[in-house]
Amino acid sequence: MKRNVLGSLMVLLLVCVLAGCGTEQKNDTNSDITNQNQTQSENTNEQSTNEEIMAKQDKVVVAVPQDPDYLDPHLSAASGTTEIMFNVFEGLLKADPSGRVIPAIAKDYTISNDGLTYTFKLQQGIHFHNGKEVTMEDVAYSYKRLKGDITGEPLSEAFEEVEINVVDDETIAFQLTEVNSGFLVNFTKAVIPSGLGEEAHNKTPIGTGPYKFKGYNPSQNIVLEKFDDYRIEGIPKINEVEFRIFADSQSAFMSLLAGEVDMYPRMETENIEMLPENYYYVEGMQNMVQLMSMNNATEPLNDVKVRQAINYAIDTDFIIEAVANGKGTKLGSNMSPVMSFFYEDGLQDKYNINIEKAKHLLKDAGYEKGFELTITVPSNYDLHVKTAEVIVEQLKAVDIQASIELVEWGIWLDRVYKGRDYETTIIGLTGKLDPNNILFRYETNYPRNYMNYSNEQYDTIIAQAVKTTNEEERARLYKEAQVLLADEVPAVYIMDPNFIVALKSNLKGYQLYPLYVQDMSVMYFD
Amino acid sequence: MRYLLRKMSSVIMTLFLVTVITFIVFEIIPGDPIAAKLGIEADKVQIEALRKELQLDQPLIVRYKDWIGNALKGDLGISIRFDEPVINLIQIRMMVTSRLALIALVITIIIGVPLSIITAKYDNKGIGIGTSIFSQIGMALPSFWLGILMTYLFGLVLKQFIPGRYVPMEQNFVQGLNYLLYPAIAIAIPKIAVVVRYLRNAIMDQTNQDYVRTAYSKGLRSHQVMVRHILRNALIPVITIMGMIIADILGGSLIIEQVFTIPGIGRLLIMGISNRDFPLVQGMVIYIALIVIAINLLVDIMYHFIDPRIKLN
Amino acid sequence: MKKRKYSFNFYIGIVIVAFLLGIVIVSFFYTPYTVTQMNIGKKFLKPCWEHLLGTDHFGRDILSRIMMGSQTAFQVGLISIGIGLFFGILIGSIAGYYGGIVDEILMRIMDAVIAFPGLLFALMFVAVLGQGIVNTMIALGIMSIPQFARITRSGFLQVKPLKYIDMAKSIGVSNFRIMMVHILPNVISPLIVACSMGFASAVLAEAGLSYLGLGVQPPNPSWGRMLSESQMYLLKAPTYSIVPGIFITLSVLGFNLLGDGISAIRDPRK
Repeated sequence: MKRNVLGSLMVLLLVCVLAGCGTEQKNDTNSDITNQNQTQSENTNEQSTNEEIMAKQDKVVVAVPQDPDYLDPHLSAASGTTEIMFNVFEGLLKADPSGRVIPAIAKDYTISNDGLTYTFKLQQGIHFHNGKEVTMEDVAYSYKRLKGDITGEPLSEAFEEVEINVVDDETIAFQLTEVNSGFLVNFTKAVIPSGLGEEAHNKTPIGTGPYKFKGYNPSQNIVLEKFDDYRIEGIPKINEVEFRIFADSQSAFMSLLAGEVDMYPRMETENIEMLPENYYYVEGMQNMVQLMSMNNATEPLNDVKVRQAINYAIDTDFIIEAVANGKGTKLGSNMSPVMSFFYEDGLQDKYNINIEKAKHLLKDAGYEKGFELTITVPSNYDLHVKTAEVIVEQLKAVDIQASIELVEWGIWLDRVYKGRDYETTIIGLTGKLDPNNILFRYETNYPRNYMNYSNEQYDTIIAQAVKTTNEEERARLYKEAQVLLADEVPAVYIMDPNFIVALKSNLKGYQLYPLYVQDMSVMYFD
Repeated sequence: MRYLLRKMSSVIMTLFLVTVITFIVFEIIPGDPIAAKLGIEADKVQIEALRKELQLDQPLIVRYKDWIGNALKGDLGISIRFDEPVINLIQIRMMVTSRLALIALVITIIIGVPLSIITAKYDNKGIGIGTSIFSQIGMALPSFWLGILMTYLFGLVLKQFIPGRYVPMEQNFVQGLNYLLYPAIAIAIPKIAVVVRYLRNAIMDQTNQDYVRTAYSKGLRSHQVMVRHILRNALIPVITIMGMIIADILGGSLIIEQVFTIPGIGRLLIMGISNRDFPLVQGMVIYIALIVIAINLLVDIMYHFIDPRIKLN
Repeated sequence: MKKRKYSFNFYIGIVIVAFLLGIVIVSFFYTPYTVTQMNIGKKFLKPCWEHLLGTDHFGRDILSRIMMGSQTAFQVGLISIGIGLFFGILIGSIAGYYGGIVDEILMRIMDAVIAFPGLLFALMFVAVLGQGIVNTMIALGIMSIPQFARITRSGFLQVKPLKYIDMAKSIGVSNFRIMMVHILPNVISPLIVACSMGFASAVLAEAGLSYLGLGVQPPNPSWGRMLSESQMYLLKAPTYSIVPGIFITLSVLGFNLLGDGISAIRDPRK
């Protein structure tokens, strides 16, 4: 033991000697960088003038966790891509920070009384990044491409049954076959220029957003550049944005410590206290539902009593404290309080920990002695893996022997999400603008109802809500649906983990969205 | 010549088997490259469109035939996850890994060889035991743990490099070298121990041989004897070890790349596997197999070069 | 002179292995705390009397987890070596005993396995067949087959031409019996050396795979996994990263020395 410690020390010493010779040049540049002024660490020379500091401040580096799936906005589906390309593309409509959709390329729109026809007026004088003016032809091309009229291959389920009619140079009408109160959000899908060829959109994407695409280096970065002709005067403010891809959170944070990253969204809560003085952070709900989904079609989870018992046995307050340092909002159903208009308050305390009750329910269900349970978790999500570890420990109190099965993301999607071959799983469902798009996943016939939840009453409520155009009435119905979910607990609803974004102290204006996006256009250096 | 022919035929056979096995394995195992790429939010029709585009709706044999046909022409296909030609991705990443391996190898040699000579020269009990202990400990050190310790010491405490921030050498040679230096040292330390252990013994064995005494009696200076006679003969076992070390460094870089988040071949492979990006994995398996085979071949040839008595067989 | 040096290795090896084995045995009956017991009020404690090696990100006792981790390491080492030994002896003895085309084919396959970087093979195996301790052990086992096969074969080639084998054959002893009873005992001591060394590399490989998140699954403790978890908190709790590494090094060192020592006793000239 002692010998070994000594040995390691000697090795380290040797390493010191070795390292000393190779890095002298770097030594002196780094040693004079003090903590409060790390801004210029990248190009610290003795001659670093004011101009250089200004130049640096015209560019912002944002840490992101993964490569985009597609640059072509119509092919892309991953939220990690939307997060970035939200700055590049706009649809007829666009989401605002409160989660409402507001006109973007459209000047305004009307919905017919029967709720079936959506008519949009085009805003004149909007330009694409390549300088071309947006015409009705482009708008029609974009949505017809989604529908599948251009290539014969539909790219969006939503538009498949929609009839697209160009009325005149300024007007386009979309004819739905049935009422869908949540349809409006589909018009946030990107409008792209026609006539460039189908492949071009994935190589050099062109949109109308505040930033234009400059380049993509796989596994390294995506660079966006200010679009001078943006439809809103004075936006964006920062010249260049680099989304730098970090495969893991610790290297992202270490780069931040070195002053190389100006903005780090979704920072680990553990790191907050280690944030250097020249950084601050913004936090808020992110409209995500972290839940332990149960496969409602398998024994013994098909028994509502068992599911309730599990809910009573799991202490979500403890989980929030243990895995998120308390930075999360407790949930009671599949809806985050950030959707305030549709959120049913009070459900989050329905299943506060109660081991006695849990044992009682298990006894009623005939599982007095407990049972074995597998929790399948995608291994790339550290938060979910840790949550699983805590749950395994907590379930021991009611004699449920849970074990964790880590699978890769690709397998999780294939086996759990698509194949529904699992017992329980922990995942975060990212929020949507419309409550329908959040709650319809529990519908019996919904293709991605991976929890195999089935309840006629629930189906009726959702179907009714989709056909309801009165907002108050819709909200009432969706709240009813949440109560039902809380009663029947097809899952253990854990938390909406706080979205924490670390920012360099001179970088201001960050806007939280109830969506998985980073709006760079409103940010500025102070 | 016969040797080369035999070797080539077995190489081709191996490569063929490797491709067939990877193809079949990827057909059987769970996981869907399209799902992995598009994530939870994917639209049903979107998935269909992509499946057709990638020709995943074709039967296995058709796809294999297409793939092998293209591969023979040097086209390894397009990565599903990155939408880039596989060959480009591999080349960029291989550049990084091979540099890392090269630096590690150079460090191993420039420290390991002199260290062995010095420790062999002073053949007394103390140094013998000391060397033995250090080489044993060195060999036992997991390089990824060394990597973590170095990240802490040089990255976080002494701030000599920024952990996780890879700088390509093309962009900034000094910074790039600096960045690769630490992982290379982490790889090299256990390998230095291996070299010292074997080379020292080999040198000491040779020193006691008759021909060495003859050489001394001829009046040659000691370093001449060392370089011309002892080292040359002692190198033979070391070359075997070097061959192993290179293969090891390639394998070991898988983990070291993870520790230092270096965008090398190892991380690409892990990413390819977890995304079920089989054109990418397929291409990389072939590439890595080729490299390993080439190294083995090189070792064989080097034997022959150093000691012509050794037949290539 | 030299002989003493090597037995020195042997003794140190024995002491380290005995120490680790002691930990494994004790951990079956006693750990200071339950390994999975969480206490969020006690996250990242530095080493102190209550927690000799400190606590981790869930406030779990690191010493207890290290102790349970030793079970994992020994389990993986033993089983993977078992697999390697069984198939290695089987393949090696068939190749060595029958020779000719059988030998050629089997040994070429072994060459191919050996040529592929071990960790890479294990990684692909585990990634493809699913992560977890069982597949890890199988992969590491397969990796170690060629080594045992080569040793067994070379032993067979040495012994086979000897007279007593021919005599055994002539009196009608079965091939299997000749292989197992008359030839195999001759290769036992090099096999033991290989086992010890193989054990060391299995422990190292398991740690590596678990570090990559492919080996042992949480919440079961594994030294490699502890290392990867600790890396995230390097700045906050550096001791958390140091301890598991010391134990990995110690096990590898112990088994390497032991193997070395045994081979020196067997062949003092070397």
